[in-house]
Amino acid sequence: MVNRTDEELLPALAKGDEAAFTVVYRRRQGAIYRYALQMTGSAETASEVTQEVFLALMRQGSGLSAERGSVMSWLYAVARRQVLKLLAVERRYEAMGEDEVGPMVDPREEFESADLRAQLRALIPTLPPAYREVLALCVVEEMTYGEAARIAEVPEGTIRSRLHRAKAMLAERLAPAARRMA
Amino acid sequence: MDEQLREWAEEERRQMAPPGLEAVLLGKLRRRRWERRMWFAAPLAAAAVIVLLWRPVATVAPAPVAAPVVAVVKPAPVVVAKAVVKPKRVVAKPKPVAPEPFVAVGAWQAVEPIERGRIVRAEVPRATLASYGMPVGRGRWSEPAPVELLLGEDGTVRGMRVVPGFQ
Repeated sequence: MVNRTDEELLPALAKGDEAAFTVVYRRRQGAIYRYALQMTGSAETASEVTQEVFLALMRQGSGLSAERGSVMSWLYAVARRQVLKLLAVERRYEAMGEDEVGPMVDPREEFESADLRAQLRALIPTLPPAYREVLALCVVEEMTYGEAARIAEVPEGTIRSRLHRAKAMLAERLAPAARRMA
Repeated sequence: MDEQLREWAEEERRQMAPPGLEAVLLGKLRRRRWERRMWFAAPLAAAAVIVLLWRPVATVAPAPVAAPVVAVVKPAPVVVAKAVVKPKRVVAKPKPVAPEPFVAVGAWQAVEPIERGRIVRAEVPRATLASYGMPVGRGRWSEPAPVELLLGEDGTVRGMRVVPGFQ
């Protein structure tokens, strides 16, 4: 069962097979959890989102089929809906716009002795959600632009430009700390 | 920047969902599977209740009736019964309440027979009744009690009694 693809496990999932569910869960929980974590910035919320996603797989698994897309894409789509709903409710972020910039963090104040990697880790959550999303999909999960575009429901070119701008924004914010360390 | 992002991504890939989440989800899956297996339980229980409620009452077949025995009997003499007259309902009239005797009031040690006098109704504080050892009734202490005063020919109060029926 471990060697079978998610799509091959779909019939067993539809019947509520525990082994099939466990295989899919262990295979995909990390990616879904990391995506939710990057988007919400909260480990607790990311756990809730992950739970909701796999509960949805339990409930709606019988309606899935390989012809309609991969199980992974479907899981991401459910996770994305959950995240957007939470973001809308909590009002943590005003919108998923590209031009909106999160609160600035002055690295000199908080990370006098930290290295650039630690500062990068602190800066990423301050990026707008659309940029965090593209970093989570393309950088962390190493997806292609096409795969990321399908999940984020935007054209490939948008993914490419968002990734470019995210990197530029991080470089700009890290520049003073990098100069100081040099 | 790419190098730093790669290192960050490698660290991020170590992030996993909490270990307890798998057990929670498997528990829900088992429960869901059990509910799906037992889908018929609720309708079955409902059907059983309906059957119990609608069970027809056991009918007992009537015992066969024996053929009537015909016998020739002399007719008994007809006796005309006397008409029963219902007794008239008598409504008992309430017995008149006997008035209490007058209690001497003031300087009078006893109510002496007087040739002519008057009885007037008045209201006095219940404390007054109590001071003469008369029943004060069940009403409020602050409310006055109706009494009858016996006035002599000279107009002085000779005696006092509570109004018949006073409670």
